[in-house]
Amino acid sequence: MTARTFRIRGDEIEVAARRDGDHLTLNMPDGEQHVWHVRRVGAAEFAARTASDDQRTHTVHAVRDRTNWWVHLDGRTHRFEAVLERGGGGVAPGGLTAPIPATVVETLVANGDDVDAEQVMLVLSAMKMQLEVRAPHAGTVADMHLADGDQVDGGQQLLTIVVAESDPPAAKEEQQ
Amino acid sequence: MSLPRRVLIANRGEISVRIARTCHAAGVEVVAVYTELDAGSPHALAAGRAIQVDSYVDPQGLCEAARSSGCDAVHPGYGFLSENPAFVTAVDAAGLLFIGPPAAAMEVMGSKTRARAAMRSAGVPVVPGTEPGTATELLPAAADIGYPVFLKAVAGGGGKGMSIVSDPEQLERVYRQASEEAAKSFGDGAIYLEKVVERPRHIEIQVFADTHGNTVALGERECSIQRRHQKIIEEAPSPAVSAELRARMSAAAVAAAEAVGYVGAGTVEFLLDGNGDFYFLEMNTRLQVEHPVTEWITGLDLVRLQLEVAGGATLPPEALDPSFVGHAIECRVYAEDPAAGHLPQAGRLMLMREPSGPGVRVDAALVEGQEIGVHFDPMLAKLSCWARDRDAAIARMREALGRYVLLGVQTNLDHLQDVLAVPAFREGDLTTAFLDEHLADWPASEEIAPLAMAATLLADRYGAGRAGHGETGTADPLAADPWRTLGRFRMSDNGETS
Repeated sequence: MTARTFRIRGDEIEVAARRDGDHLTLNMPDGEQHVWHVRRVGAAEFAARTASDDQRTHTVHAVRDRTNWWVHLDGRTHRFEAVLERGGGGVAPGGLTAPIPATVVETLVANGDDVDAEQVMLVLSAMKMQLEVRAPHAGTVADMHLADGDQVDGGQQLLTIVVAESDPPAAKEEQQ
Repeated sequence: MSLPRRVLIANRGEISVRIARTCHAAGVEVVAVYTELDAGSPHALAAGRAIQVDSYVDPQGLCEAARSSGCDAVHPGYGFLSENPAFVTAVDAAGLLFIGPPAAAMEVMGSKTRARAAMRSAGVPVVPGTEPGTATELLPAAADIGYPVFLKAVAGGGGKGMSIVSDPEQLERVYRQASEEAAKSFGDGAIYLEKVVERPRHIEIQVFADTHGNTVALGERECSIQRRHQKIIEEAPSPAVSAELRARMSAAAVAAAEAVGYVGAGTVEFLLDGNGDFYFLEMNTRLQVEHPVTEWITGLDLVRLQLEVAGGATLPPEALDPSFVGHAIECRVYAEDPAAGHLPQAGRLMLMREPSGPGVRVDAALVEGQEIGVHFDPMLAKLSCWARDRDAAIARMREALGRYVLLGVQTNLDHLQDVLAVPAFREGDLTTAFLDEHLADWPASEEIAPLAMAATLLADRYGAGRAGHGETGTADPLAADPWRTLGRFRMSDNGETS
């Protein structure tokens, strides 16, 4: 569980969060637990379902600027001030997703491999083109469960690149 | 029919876009204007032709822009120079057609005292009041009119320089204070007395006049939902106006327009009290922000009528004998924080999804990525909805407001939804004090939305809206694009590995 703090109009709310693939478990300050399944469906659109009512899909729009997260959900607009990460480091910044539905034609890395920035990790094929998926930054490969010939959906997570604890890119956010 | 050939739109933002739409559909060319701050802005792009000017309020500069771009007419929109008789005169002098009323009509309606005098002699009811006088002179007049009364500074306006007096004992003391304050604030201590219209509704009549002696009323709009004397929700028809009252108010509005030799689109504003008595407030000598609700229920295009009347045409039969169908509501979407005194907000519009569908109309001049500044009016858009009856129109509006996604700058979208949800609104029990009476403490409590939090965590993982590598801190919505994480492309043959 990673502790996250949300600041809403000056009030701080601490939430414990655990992510497992597209599932997210939130433990709220009032003791309630919420389990959500969130899937990306557009540039800033997400389809979300709760574990308790998985027939109902909520459309979520989310973007962030330097200090705020802006989320539109169920007709209302929410603004959270800088979401600070407090320890744990469990949420990796380096998730990579497929831009369009594609076929995996080559897997060049495996879980635990160290990669350099710009290193080619996967080759996808779609629309008669081959697409190289490169590492956006150095780190260690995790959440990689793909094999040659697998089909991936647009927006599907391909793998994660975990950055060493000593140099978390997320630290920049905390300095703001 | 003769329409102008090429129109200079002396305005910006949504109204410039709205005027351009009608002109384009009518085969009339348009030229937009923009200042340095507005270079490349949506209204300039929508026009197809645009010319840079130093200012939106410089009559000579605008006339020069019209001449140099080959225009034969000028549409002023609303705000800026739209009610400035000197602009009308300058446009006339430049040999161009002004799409609006004559300067003389504007002059009369632009002066509070001249307008009241003209309305009184035309038999249009005005709020009972007196000429300026001393406290001793005003005391018997107050007894005639009936308490409570306003003491108003002659030089005041816009809600400033007004004091309320509820009984004769207070009058002299309040008068002294008000006069001293007016002398200090406005340099003129003159005070007059006016009846307080209690629990008033703001009802206005859309009028239209051609140059052939026809002046018509196109129904009313109710604009009682206001904050800081600015309208935020308007509707047509008003739930408080019966057919009989509509006929009386329409006759008064037509008399008001005829009294000043009015031509084109105009709006006569009234205060309506609980007894069905109404009083002339002012006349807006231009197209009104909230004109779409009238267009919804009449099926008329008011800008098209403006072009026709300016071209010398007679009003068409559908305007001379208008019919009203269904109910329309308009919400003004502002870049503001309703929880902080409706303070204007700036920011970058990072994500925009506009609602659409049957009976839904958006008037806006927005583009994703646009910087919303504080240099101009903070109104971002007008969302209007039409349905067969008022309940259905409210339901449609609430649904559409909920689908309006504007992220990156604080807006009043949530506030508008909560106004529509107040039982008194749905019952049509409106006054100009509605927001103070029902939503003064908005928002009651900040709702904690676990899903919104979950979404931020998940979206964070996807890098949605993430600033480009974080060092500049400037948000870039395109950074959410997973294409950006891809390396170079290789063409392949039939999808086979090469």
